[in-house]
Amino acid sequence: MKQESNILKIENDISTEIPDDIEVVGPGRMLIEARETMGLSQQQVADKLNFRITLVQGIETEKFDLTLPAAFNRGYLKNYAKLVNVSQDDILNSYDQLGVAQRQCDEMQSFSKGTEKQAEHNMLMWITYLILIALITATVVWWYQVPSTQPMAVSVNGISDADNTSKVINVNDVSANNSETQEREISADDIAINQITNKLPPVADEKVAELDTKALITTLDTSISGEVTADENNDEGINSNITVLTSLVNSSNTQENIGESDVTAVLAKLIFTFSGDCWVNIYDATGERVAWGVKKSGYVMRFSGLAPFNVTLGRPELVQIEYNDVAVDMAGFNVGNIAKFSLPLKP
Amino acid sequence: MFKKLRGMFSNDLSIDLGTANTLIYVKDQGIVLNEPSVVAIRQDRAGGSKSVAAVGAAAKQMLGRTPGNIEAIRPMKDGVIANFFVTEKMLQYFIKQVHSNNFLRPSPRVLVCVPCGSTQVERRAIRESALGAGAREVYLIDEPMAAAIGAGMPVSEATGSMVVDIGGGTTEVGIIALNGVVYSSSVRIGGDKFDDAIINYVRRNFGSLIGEATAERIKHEIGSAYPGEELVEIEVRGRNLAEGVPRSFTLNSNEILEALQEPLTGIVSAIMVALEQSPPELASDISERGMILTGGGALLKDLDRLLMEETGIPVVVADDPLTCVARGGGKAIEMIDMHGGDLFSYE
Repeated sequence: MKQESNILKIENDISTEIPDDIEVVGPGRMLIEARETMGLSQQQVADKLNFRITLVQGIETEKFDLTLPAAFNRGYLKNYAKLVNVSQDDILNSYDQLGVAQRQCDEMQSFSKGTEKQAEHNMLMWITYLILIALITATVVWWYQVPSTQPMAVSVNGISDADNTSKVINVNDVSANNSETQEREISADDIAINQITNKLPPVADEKVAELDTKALITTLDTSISGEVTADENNDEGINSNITVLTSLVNSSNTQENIGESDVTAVLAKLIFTFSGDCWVNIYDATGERVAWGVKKSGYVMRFSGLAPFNVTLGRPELVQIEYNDVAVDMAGFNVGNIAKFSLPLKP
Repeated sequence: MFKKLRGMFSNDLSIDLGTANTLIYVKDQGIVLNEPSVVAIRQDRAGGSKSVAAVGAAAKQMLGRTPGNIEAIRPMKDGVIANFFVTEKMLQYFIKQVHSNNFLRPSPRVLVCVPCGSTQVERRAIRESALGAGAREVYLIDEPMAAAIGAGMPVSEATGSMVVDIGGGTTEVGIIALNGVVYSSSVRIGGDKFDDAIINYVRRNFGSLIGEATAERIKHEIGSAYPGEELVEIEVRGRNLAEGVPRSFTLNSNEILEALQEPLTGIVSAIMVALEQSPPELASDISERGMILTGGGALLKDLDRLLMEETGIPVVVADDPLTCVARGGGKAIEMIDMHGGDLFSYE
């Protein structure tokens, strides 16, 4: 089978080589012979075919005008062949072998403004695509970066707090009447010692919400889990549960938390004494509103929270404030004007 | 959106929607379909739904031989749509035939060649018909422009090129330079008119009635546009109008030449008008290079000789004149992305 195919291949090669050995008769020579056989002159042929005499001479000498499209040269040859009774196919085959047609350029040009417009539209389209790709890439990069920048940390009712060096959180424990401070020492798994001082939220009035403090205790290289439940009794019978929830800080995250670990949670005790009706609005350091509304004359509002506090008082001259049992100087506020300040007051 | 998706699996098509034949050129594949523009419609009961019984060559065989429930229709007349519904069905069938993908309905970009003398309504009808047949986008191109490109004329050069496209329904004469049509005219004379002229001649001189198919056969076999040296005869059969029975008789080429005088004179007149109307510089170019004949009518024997005698300029019949328009449209659609739509025609 393979031999047969080889034989066929050799035969094909031979067949393709045959034309090289045979003298190729050009179309001009064939036409001259036919014209002379018919007894026609070049002028007569030119007259009959409406050709210029130079064109007839050019065909016969096989000097074709390369600026002329192939369609015309082929057409002239066909007309000439038809006139002198020569096979058109033979003439055209002979012409094709000269390879004149390949040298003629048929490239088309465009002159319309439509092309320029189209090119402009294409360019705008590409620019639009590029902008879209850039936007999508930026969104994806942002999406991946956001979670990595979030601190792995500790939250005490929403406050992040972590100290990778000492991991000690001191919180003042405030009771409603005697401001007792208790310290809780928690140890877990024989590792680092963490101290926690729990605070108890005072219940100044019905508006003050009880605070559940969740403190996270962290260690440097290990995780600590522990639960502390503190029950406190105060004079007003308010029980506060302090729960220290599980915290998990891996050593790999300590570096990330270094920058955010400077914050120390400080509980401050505040006593507001109203000598007249006054509108108040107080936010603690977490941004949580701890007191709001009109307080009646003679009302004493006690509460504790995370300092600093943002305080707004409608009539500051009617209010006396004690910050951690120290009276706040209210003389600096104008009578009749709303006072906006933060506690503790800045020197 | 879905159409665009389907478009990815479709080929760009150039359609020569001719009165006699429809040709489809597929980008990178060449002419893939050449079928008569005939559709056979079946309607089994009066008022019932119509269905397509056959399209193309199969339908053409039915012409004049159909029973009551089948009607063989030529939906194109004088180069434009005569029956919108049937044209749409025919295009749908042809477009489907040139796509091998049976999974998705093809949705190609289609370029349709239209006569330069067609009205806005006729162009709109062709566009709508192609869209209805499933085309994604439809472009229109003047037939002389497509014919010139298909014949290999230098349409983009600053020299005048004259093309005469003799189709089934119309003859288009165009003078083209710099990718634009400088002058164009369209006369509703073509192959069909030649057939009608033969039918009328036979009825008048032989008292017999012949069908369109017989007239076409006579034209192909002994039709001539110029008196030849040899006389050719053909025997045909027709129904004798006086006796009402079929009779056979013999026709010769001179008689057919006489029969064709009227439509041939119309074509010659259109060409003479075009030469008269052309700007002097372009007339000079045309006189030097000559004009090119395309379309099925160019195959009429010695038509080039007749035009050479009448106009005094060289006349060249294009290679494969039947497919010139479709091939030219194909080249134009291949250049859409490169040159834009400056070759196209608009409604």
